[in-house]
Amino acid sequence: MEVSSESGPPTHGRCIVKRRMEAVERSLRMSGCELGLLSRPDGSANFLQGATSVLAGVYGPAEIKVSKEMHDKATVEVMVRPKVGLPAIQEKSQEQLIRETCESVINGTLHPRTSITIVLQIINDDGSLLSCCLNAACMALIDAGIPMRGLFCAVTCALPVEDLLIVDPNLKEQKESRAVLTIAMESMEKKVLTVSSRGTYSAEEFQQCVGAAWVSASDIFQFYKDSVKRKFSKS
Amino acid sequence: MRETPLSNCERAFLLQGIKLVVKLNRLLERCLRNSKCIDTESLCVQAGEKVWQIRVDLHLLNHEGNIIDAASIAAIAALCHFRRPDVSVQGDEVTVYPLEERDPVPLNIHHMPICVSFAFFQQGTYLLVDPSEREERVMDGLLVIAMNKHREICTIQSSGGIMLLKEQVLRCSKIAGVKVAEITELIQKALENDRNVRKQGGKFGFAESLPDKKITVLKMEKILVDTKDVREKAEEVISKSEPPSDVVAKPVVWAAGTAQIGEGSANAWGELEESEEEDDDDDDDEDVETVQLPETTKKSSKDVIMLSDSEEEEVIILQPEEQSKASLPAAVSKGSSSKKSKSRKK
Amino acid sequence: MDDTDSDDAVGEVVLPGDVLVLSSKAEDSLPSTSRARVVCGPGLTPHGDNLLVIKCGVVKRRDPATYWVDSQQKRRNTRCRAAEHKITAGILPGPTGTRRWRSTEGDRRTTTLELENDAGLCAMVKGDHVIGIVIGQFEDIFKVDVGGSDQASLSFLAFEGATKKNRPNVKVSLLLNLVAMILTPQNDIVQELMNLFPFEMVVGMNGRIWVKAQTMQQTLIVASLLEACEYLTAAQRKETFAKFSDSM
Repeated sequence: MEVSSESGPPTHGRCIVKRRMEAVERSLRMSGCELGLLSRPDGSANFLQGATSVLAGVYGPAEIKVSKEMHDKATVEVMVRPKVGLPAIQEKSQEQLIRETCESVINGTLHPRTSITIVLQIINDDGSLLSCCLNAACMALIDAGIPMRGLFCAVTCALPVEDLLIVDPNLKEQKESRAVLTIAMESMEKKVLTVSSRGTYSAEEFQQCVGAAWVSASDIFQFYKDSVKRKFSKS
Repeated sequence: MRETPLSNCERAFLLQGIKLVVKLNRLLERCLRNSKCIDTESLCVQAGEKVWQIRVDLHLLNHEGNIIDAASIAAIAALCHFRRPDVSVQGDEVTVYPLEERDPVPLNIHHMPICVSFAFFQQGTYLLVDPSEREERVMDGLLVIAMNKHREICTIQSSGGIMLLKEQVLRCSKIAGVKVAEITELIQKALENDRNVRKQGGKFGFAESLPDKKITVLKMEKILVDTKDVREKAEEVISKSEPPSDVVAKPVVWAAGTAQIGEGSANAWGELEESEEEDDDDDDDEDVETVQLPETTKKSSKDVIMLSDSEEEEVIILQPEEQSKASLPAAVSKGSSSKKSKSRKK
Repeated sequence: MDDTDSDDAVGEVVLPGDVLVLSSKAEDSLPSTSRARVVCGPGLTPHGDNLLVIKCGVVKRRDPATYWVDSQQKRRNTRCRAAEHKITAGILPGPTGTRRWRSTEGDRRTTTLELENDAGLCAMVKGDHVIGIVIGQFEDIFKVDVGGSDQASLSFLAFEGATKKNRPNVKVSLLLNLVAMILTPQNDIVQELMNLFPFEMVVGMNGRIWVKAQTMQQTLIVASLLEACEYLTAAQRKETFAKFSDSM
């Protein structure tokens, strides 16, 4: 629905930053995950980070158009569907980023001449959307049983003012920040897979963000493992 | 109304899906717009000048049968839940108040039309309410009745080419009446729940929509990330890292009409036999320009490149790896291998 | 992510990226030649001297050294005797050339359903017995959907008794199967089902099952019981079957 009003100047920005510094500085928001909730796709996951929610579905390995076929590996396709409206340029660039991240862990040579399609439906955006998309994609790939060399997870860091780093920011914090970085890490050697950023930051701040992502990544991987264990606990 | 491919699986189904969505769109438009369930007059801001536009986006997440009912319930529930920003008009000036200043106002919904689908089997001998996807595949005909809780029929549609008796339609409309009353109550209960939770400042929205006890669901409370030593680490990394060596970009002219700039990685042209295989699909050009290429960068400096009747006189290769595939149509390192790769195509 | 001893990992949940270190115990007890005969089942791939997990699930082991990951995927899944199928990459499900195909009229009393089986996509090998549905006819070739990544093509000559002049009358949506490969008789589920009423059943290596009973109703009963079995323990299943036979 169109809401033509833009909210006024950010009046609460200052106090939010202060609150962050004192108490809840550098915490991952509540996250949740539901696996295999859709019946149509081969694998699906709903990933939540705070109020940000992304629903991911994976089809594959499946039949593919001849024009897209690769005879030595599987073709990975990613579709990002926005909450409102049709996918535009922003979604296209996200698709590419997510596709390249997924391709680096998917063991596509085991399924040549097939397609692996990842569909991401944004359900709600409250900051750290890209990292939530990546996490949802990874969980859905796990659920679909796509062969993978390892896992990946993503962490968004926001740099609002000097000497402050917010991990997993919400939409408001993200808007008020001078720089936002999303860093994807893989699980095998805990190396950086993908970095996407906007705004200006120093090399030192970049290293800080990588460090923060590195620390958070182990928590997220543990969360992955716990949710899969829970799913398998019935048998 | 648009469909998300999350709900589709087979390609054949995808094609069917587009038709399905067009059909659904029309039906819902008739159900919601033509039944005049929304008070559109109250959406006028300035007569003849400004109005509110209300658009309902529906995302089809999973198709396991009877999307018509699900879509109509979702749409009407969303319309009931929607709040628009308040406006005031003073003369010619229209002020739209942000959500913080004035509470948003709900739409005026006169009544809630809800679709109920009936599937018929064996020329109407058997009747099924709320068919599943498998049942839909084998049904003979479908009857959709849109009704509100006052038992007023808003839309009725029969498809699939089945002849229905008057009694059958009447029976269906009776069943629909019961179903609609149930569903309306359900929607109102959900709306009331949401209102209460919001009033009390509790949690609401998608974050709370995950079912708690399901085995496939796991929730994790806030995790404090210990980033105390991150700063020191960052400083350490930077102090250790060597400053980037000064890169002097010297353009190198390999032969007349070509040039290379920047250091880049090792020359990949010698390995084109492999990359050629990957790109088979792209370059179907039969008149391949055979280019004699050096094997490695070091040895090459004295070799001569022969560009036979090239149309691309000035080829400047900035990134040898990427450009080699794109700019020269199928540059092949040796004449013999070009034949090889061609024969592989066939 | 984690390096675990392969024997300790048995029964544990693993995620892609985990490494199973082949246990030294097994190596000591066996002659050195058998070390090379570690069988790497679905969900695992060789990684140097060790095994790398590429699918999530529970690690299973069978002597002497067969390891696989039992995952609960929806489609093309692993369950029964999965370790016996080797992962063979990139083989098209092509039943071309097999002469043993037989056509069965797909009447209203038959039904197919897909059962979990990791043989699904990657391990469907030429010579495997599969159940397919004809989805199209192009001159002399039928396109058959066998639930794989690609459609299979089948020459009309492949049918029993078919010659160039005597073309088989095959309709689209007809069911093709090879009458063999009935589930091992000692399988409890089939045994218990047999007690209810007689029916015909064919299991394809592609995870499809074809069922035919005397009436449409019975066919559907078998189909839904088989589907239900997936989420039941042995005790629950016996209970369900008992309840069912009482009500009949």
